[in-house]
Amino acid sequence: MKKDEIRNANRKAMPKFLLVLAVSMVVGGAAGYSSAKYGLDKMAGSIKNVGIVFGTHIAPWLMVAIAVIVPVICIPVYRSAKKLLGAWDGEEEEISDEIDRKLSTAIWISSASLVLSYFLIAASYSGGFATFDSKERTIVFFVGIVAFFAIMIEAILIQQKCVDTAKRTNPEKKASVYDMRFQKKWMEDCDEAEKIMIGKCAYKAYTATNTVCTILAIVLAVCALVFDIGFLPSLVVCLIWIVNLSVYCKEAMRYSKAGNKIS
Amino acid sequence: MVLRNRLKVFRAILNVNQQEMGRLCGVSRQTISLIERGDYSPSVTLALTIAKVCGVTVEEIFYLQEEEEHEKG
Repeated sequence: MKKDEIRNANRKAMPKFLLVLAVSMVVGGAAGYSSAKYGLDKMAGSIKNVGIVFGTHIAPWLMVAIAVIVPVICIPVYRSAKKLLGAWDGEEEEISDEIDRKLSTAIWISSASLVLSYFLIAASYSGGFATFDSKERTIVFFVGIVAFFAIMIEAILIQQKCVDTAKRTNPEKKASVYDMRFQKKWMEDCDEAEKIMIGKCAYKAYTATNTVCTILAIVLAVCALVFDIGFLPSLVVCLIWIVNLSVYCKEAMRYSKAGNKIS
Repeated sequence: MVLRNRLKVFRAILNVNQQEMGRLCGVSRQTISLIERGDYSPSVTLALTIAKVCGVTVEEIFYLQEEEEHEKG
């Protein structure tokens, strides 16, 4: 690209960028002004109370609900994939695509439920040791813990079953889900087309994470000022953001030097 | 220009399914399927491997076609 072309491209994109910047400033300013004028900072206490109520009364039951709903959804999906595999002649592409789609769906749901359960267990801890002051709350707390472990076990088993079924349609894949280096070994068994697909998916995930982290960092910075939520949430988001960016940049530098000779 | 291929024909000549073809070429069944459907352009290494497995030259399996011609087809 010539210097003029670079300048023109920047000039073309600049107005939209400035507009987004201006809108963000106006929204930020309005939020700050409103919080000062209408005393939104006084809401901080009630938000904290809502959080504690959610954590001690709702989160444990949500974990129980997830522990029940996930197998109810995933097991039939897995069974139908297995049934299709039994009827598959090894040639019909539509059937094999359908098997892959069903197995991916089951893995996706079980993985998402596991992530959600980590949030819910943290939320149920948010009541602190005061939770144990009441018998009823203590029981609910332990019900939540049991549900949390149930979700973990379910996620592991569902993923193991799905991966084992996927291995039947892909005999070149050897890794076991119980192997600590499962992801690395699975990747090593992938061929060039699969690695390109993984790369494309990973890039999409990288850009999505960057966008979410940008939005969260701004929102949490405003919340720290208005609702007095402290800096810990911002620290966690920024830590994820830095790790995401740094790993991407480090790997990009490595690949630009070594080309496709490294996996 | 679009890369097209006759892999399905050569696989039929070899009398192997996609799974077996993938094993012979060192790739997955899905990759063979993607190549046959024209949804994936293989690397030079893989194209040469496929040609070697089929016992023909790369040009006999893979060929370039004008975009318009491809759309009409």
